[in-house]
Amino acid sequence: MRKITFFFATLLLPLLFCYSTIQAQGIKLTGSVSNANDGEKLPSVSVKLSGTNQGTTTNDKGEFTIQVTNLPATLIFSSVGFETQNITVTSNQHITVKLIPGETLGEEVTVSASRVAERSIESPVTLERLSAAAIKNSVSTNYYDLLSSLKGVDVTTSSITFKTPTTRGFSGSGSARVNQIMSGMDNQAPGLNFSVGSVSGLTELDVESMELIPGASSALYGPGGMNGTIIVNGKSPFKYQGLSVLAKAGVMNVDSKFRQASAYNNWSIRYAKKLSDKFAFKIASEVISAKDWLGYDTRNYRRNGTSGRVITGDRETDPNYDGVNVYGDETTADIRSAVLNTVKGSAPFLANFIDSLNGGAPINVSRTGYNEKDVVSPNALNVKVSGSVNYMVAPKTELSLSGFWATGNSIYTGSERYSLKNLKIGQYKLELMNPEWFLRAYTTQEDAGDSYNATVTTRLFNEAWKPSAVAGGWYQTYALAYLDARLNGQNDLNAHKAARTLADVGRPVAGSADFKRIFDEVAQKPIKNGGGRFIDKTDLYMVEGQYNLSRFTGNFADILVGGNFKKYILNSEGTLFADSTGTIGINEIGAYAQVSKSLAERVKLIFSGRYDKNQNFKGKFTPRIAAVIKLKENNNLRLSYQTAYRFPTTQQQWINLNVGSNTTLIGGHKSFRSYYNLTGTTYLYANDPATGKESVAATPYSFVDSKPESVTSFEIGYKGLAVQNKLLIDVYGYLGKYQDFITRSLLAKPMPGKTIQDLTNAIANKTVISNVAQIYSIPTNAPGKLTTYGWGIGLDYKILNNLLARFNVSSDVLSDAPAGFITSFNAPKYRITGGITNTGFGKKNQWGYAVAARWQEKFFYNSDFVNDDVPQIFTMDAYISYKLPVAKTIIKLGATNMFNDYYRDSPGNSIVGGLYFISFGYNL
Amino acid sequence: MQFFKISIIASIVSLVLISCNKLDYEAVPITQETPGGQTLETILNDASYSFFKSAATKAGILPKLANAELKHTIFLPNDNAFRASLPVDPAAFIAGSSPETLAGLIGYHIMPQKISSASIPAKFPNFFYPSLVNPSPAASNLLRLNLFPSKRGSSLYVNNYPVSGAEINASNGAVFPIPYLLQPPTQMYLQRIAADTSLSYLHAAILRADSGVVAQNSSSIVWLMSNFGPDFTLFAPTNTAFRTLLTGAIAQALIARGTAPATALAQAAALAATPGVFSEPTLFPVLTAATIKGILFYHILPVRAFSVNLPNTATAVPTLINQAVPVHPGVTLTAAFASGQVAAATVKGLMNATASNILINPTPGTGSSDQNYVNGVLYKIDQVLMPQ
Repeated sequence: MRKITFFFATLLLPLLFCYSTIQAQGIKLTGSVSNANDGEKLPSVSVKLSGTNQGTTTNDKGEFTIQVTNLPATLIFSSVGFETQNITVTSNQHITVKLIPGETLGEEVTVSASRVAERSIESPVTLERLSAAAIKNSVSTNYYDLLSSLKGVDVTTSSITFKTPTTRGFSGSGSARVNQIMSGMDNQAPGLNFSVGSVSGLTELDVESMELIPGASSALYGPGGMNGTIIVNGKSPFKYQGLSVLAKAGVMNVDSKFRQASAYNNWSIRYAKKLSDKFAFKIASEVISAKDWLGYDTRNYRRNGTSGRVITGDRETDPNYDGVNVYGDETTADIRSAVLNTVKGSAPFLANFIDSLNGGAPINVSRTGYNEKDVVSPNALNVKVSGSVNYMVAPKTELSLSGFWATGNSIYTGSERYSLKNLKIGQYKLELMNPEWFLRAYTTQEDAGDSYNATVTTRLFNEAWKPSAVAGGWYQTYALAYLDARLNGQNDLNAHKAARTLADVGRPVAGSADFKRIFDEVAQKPIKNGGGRFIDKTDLYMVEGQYNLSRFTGNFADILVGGNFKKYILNSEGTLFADSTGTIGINEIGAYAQVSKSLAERVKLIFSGRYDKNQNFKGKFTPRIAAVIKLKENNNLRLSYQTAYRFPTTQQQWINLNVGSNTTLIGGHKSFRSYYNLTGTTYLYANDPATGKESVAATPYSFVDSKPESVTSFEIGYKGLAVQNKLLIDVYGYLGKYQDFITRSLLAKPMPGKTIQDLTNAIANKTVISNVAQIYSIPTNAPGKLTTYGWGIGLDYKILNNLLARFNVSSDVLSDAPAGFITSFNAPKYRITGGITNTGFGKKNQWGYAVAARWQEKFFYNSDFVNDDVPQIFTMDAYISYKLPVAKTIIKLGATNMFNDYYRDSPGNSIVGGLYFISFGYNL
Repeated sequence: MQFFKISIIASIVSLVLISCNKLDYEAVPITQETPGGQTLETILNDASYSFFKSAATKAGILPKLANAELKHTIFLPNDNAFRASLPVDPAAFIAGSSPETLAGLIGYHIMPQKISSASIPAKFPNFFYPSLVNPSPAASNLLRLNLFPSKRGSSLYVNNYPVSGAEINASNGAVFPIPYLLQPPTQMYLQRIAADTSLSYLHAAILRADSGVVAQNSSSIVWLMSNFGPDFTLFAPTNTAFRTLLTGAIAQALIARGTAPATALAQAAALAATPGVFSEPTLFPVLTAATIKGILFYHILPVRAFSVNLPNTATAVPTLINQAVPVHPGVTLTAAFASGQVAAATVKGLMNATASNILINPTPGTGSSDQNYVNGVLYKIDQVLMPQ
């Protein structure tokens, strides 16, 4: 705690300098705002003085008061569900404003694309924006899910509370190639490496907007944004006040196909209060509870290290069955070499018979597993608590201290499924914000709680109730029973069945008291002590600042500079990282600058560049050049060349995790090579998941230090309004080239007494190679370049003031991948989304509805966990709402995946069905 | 309202157009071949196999042969083979035998797996695969008496019998016709050696070789010859062979010590006249336990070779001696065949001037060749084999 205090104390220093800049105010303006349709007074309307951060909101009578320094002044009136109005005030007369329901297309202001405010229609790069209104009127049960309705976005669903959006390919659970900036903070769990997205962060009622920059985007946001940057902005307590409540109650698994019908609950509450013009605070909380979507894929998987493919066979017909979402059955042994060859020693008269079994080939047998639903915590729970205190230290300078804390249960998919249990993430931020500059410091404190690896834990559970290898253990019992059955004329399969029945005598039934007792014991024991629990208390500290020098340089060009310092402190107590002897620190520094210049009114050029240095890697410079060409008013052509890169994640640098099957995931840091004596003793092992062809290199692997991965992207886009400004068209096309792609390679180290020849023989005999070799999965940079390209078209059509139709289609293609290279491109070639939102019809426009549909094409998905096809997915969501005339209350009845047509967006992950809900919202 | 209707229609249309998400999540069983055609039981329904069938029925084995899930291979004697092999009427024999006896006999014709003639290699000496007979269920459920299929040229054999007809394929196994009933071994070597008066020198030699070693110790020859597990071929020199060797050897030793040749020969003959020669204290320095053990081991092949398995050209075959002296050439075996059966066979020791004859007489229990025991096969020979 002491280091945190010190860390924040240093941040308070600049306050001393800011305080003196407080100035006195001049002219007082008053006015009232009402609905142009029915004349109803509108509370909570934002009133902002143009060109400043200064503003207020209307009170419950629709009235406001604002101080301005001089006249004329332009006031911007905005409110969710109404068109924004700019009114230039020339005198201090009472101002009357009538807001027209509906939103103006393309008018939203964004700061994400260039780190300075600009209209999204004039953004130099492709940008998607979801306003609070869009979130309010969405069908999704969680605002995060709404990202999947944007063009070019793919989502990997690992749990109802764990979804990972990504763009332009390379999706994966907890993708490290997407930056998520939540309220100005990097939202990546520093040790687990996944962006905690919907698990922690802003609560639904506290989100003002969500923005997405697809594709390469690290020029301004730092390493990581290879495949997009997601920016979620919170609501200011100065601007959004009062109490808001949103309660959703729903039902899932309605057909009881995979599990009993169960309840879904999501309650969100927010309260903000402006105590004076200088001081405001907010608190927010959200609780989600549900019986989680789980993986129910029982198909057989031929696993080799972290690769493999789905094959035919089930528990009954394949003695070596290894179900995708069945755990514990990864433990496999050749009963011939493990047991029967020993039997031949004491019963030589059976030698020929034993040799003839299974045609002389290895008799691989896996242990009996348990289904995911039996071993993964079935209760998804997400509790978020956040708050901030905000103080205007100067008229334009806001100091805020905010905290975001979340805990809960979820499921993450890495090289295996992880039950995240009592995971805790805390993010604390101290920030000084001025229209021209900001300075912020924050920390992410992660605690994996009681999380465990489902596969490892279940395998160890099996060892706990009956050890595999010992005399009288599971395999010996099995092998002797198998031999006995064969000696009685049983065919191979029946002999295996009989053997399994005997070996499984005493096997705890899933869910029984015995099962729970043993399982909990194993799951709660840390990995290093022979259990399945991983400890992760990794922390991240970050300080960053930015200054807009335009005040000084405006005559020539607008210049923006910024920089940051980042420190990771890895702490897994030896369970996840190679840190059993103490924490591991990793430092990163970065700086950026942006110059933008308008040429001849119609053309704006923007140059951005960023340099980052990680202590374990060479420094990396990433430039971005973009141009916006105004074809005519509200019709802009954008061109950009940008680069992005990422350093290998903390896990890719330092992980040291035995995932069973004699397979260890290790980091790329040099020290692993000597620690495991890998140099000159290991051979590259390849297993093409598509064809199943296995190979092992003839000569030892020569190690190369890993490098940051980078992508360069060329993009052209157009955004404009047509048909009397009723149609917003957004089109883009891009070409990306990836280089030094970070992937994992498998190295096989022959076990003591074995040689490379034994490995070659094992492959020829179709033996599981990990029975004769230790497998090390190491991060490597793929040779050659990968080229991706794609395009997207989005059309938003405002049919009526409160009736909007949206349609988009997008495509992403990987064009040239080196042969045998596992690309993990993981994107469908085409996806289409569309929908209609009506925010008011019927008497007094009290009724509303929305329908949204999404379709994506079948594609092949690679992951360390499972490689397989993802069949086409079609989902449809809809709701109907009713606004109570009094009390600012809206009731919604809706459904996501309304036909309860189960789908899985990535193999091995959760199967998602329909969710039917009713929601009650107050003061949204 | 119009758009509300449109959107409802659109939802229904898309529902119809895109039927459903084709989600694969269920394990697909590996399709099991269910071979059609006749079972072993159907084959036994042929009238020419009536004795085998009725014996198998009484023994309780028939249901196994009818079960399509189980796999068996039968070396099948037809009714004529029963008649040729049994001294009494087969029907009366079956009626008079207990189910246990019949299970032992019939079970020794059946292997609990399906083999094909192609799968039997022409390798010296043969393959050993278990039959259904467990000689000692109380000791272990994994014990089985073996059958020994082999191939020479295009001819198939089981133990020392030829397969007399074409292989018959069944959905749950295979059938190989044989001309005689197979006799399941019931005894260990040592029981024959102890009881056979023409092998009393051998018996005495075994006991002498084991002197100082407890019989229960698995390194003793008595243990080797009386336990189930090790499987071997024993060339058993007859009493005459031992007497000849011992007389000559003792006489030479006496002559070397200055005894007159005629006297030496007479003394030697007297000493070697009974198996007691092995316990004659004056000869202990010459006939040491180690020497005798070495000689005995030279008479034992670590495999069970039936006469039909013997090579038709002189071939060196390792003996138990080779376990200690891997470079030793072993013994040289040669057999002459006539109509698929061995007419004459010899085994020659490295230091023997001439080859020793294998005394051909395969009569079970009392003969001198192909004497089949639980733990191996025994041949009587007319010279002691000398390794060095």
